[in-house]
Amino acid sequence: MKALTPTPEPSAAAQVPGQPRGGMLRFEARDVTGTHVLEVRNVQRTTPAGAVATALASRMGLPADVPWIIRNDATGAVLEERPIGDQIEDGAKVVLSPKAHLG
Amino acid sequence: MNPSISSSAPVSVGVAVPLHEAAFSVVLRDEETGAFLAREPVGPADLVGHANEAWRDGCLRKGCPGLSRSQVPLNIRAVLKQNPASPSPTLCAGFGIDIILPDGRVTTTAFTVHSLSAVAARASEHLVALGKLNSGQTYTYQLHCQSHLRPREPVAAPPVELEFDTNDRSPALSWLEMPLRPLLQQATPHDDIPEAGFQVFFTAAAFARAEQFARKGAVATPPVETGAVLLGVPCSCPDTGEFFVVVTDAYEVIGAEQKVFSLGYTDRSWNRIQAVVKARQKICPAFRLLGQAHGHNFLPAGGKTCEACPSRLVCDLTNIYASQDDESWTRAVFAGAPYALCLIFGLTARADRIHGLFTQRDARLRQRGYLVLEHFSADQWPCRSGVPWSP
Repeated sequence: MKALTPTPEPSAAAQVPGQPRGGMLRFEARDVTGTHVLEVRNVQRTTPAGAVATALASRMGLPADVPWIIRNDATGAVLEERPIGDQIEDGAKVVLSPKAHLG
Repeated sequence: MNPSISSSAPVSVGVAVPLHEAAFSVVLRDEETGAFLAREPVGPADLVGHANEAWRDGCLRKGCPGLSRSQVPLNIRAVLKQNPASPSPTLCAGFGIDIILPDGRVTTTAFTVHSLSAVAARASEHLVALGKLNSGQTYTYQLHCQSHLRPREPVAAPPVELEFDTNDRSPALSWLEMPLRPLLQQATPHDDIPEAGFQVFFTAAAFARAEQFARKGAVATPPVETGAVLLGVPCSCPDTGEFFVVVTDAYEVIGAEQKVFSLGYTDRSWNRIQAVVKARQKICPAFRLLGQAHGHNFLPAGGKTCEACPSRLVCDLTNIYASQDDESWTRAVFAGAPYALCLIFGLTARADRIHGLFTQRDARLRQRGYLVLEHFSADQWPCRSGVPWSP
């Protein structure tokens, strides 16, 4: 006889290490010189691209006093300020570029 | 005391602590009265450029080009002023960053108080915003080390940290193994090369192309800034362990936002640059972006010359300087690449063509000399790579 003990659903935190969580985005990000390269996992698809750019710059140790944008390496398109999951595919490669100019 | 840290004033060297435990602050004072204005903590982000420069001079240039910045532990030591007239035991003449190399050698890169001018500028902006300092009012600044204070990040609110996972897949540096002496013997030096500075070579063709593209905007009405990216190879000398760079090509920055006093790279500019670099790296992995050149194509002082102009051989009213924008751009684009070059082609007030090369020294872009090679072939030298670092 089976015990009628409810089994809880696996929580989002109980994931296989190194594997992306369901519905999350995974991609590779690098800076413009290719000096810093990050494999990025488990990004909420609904996160605005600008917030992801700022967070990636921080993780790469890039200066916080300039704004950063993300470009899709395959298309060259600059990601707009809307959910990142609407703009790149899982496994995409992106480039983090500073929004700065020479004087 | 380490002899590589020196000062004209009597000094003592503080205890070495890991870089992230540095407890420095910059104190601003009114220039006229000496009154205290503000104390601005020096955060870890303020020392990133210093750390990269220490890696360049204390590791890459000491025969260890294969060690990534993350692989070398950095310690920092204050250089304390010993002034009997000063009641403050915390006043610093500067500081040094130590690197312990795998063979046990310890290298020290010294920095002055001026290397933290950006921190002082940040504090002054806060004071101006609060109305405690008038715009344009002059101030002095000092560096203090207070080991009992924990460092903190700048006053600006930190970005909201998103939750996601990352793995560092940064590639190790690739370089060409090439003796330095034969290059020095055949190259033509231009301007003063700092004795302790790393060597920068341009092929004559690359330099000419850089100038051509940088000055292209001079013919526009009004003149605008135009430029080129500098590409080439980092090199390490097997005889001396010295690290140096050779610029072998220059590519025009196309699709840029060109203005009289600024030049902004667009996504179109970057797409082309990265396509070129990727293609070249398939042939030579050491090939990389080494810097940029741009033209200050405006006449300084609007072209107004001084009364002594007819009798002067050289006009010293020029527009050759690395602006704050150039500093910020270089720090952002070449973060982790402290060998980055900023080559500026400009004019004197009487329209003589001049130029200047700037590289990071004392955590700022400083003008320095370089060498030009008539002939250079990268193909004959072996390409080496370090081992990517994994924590």
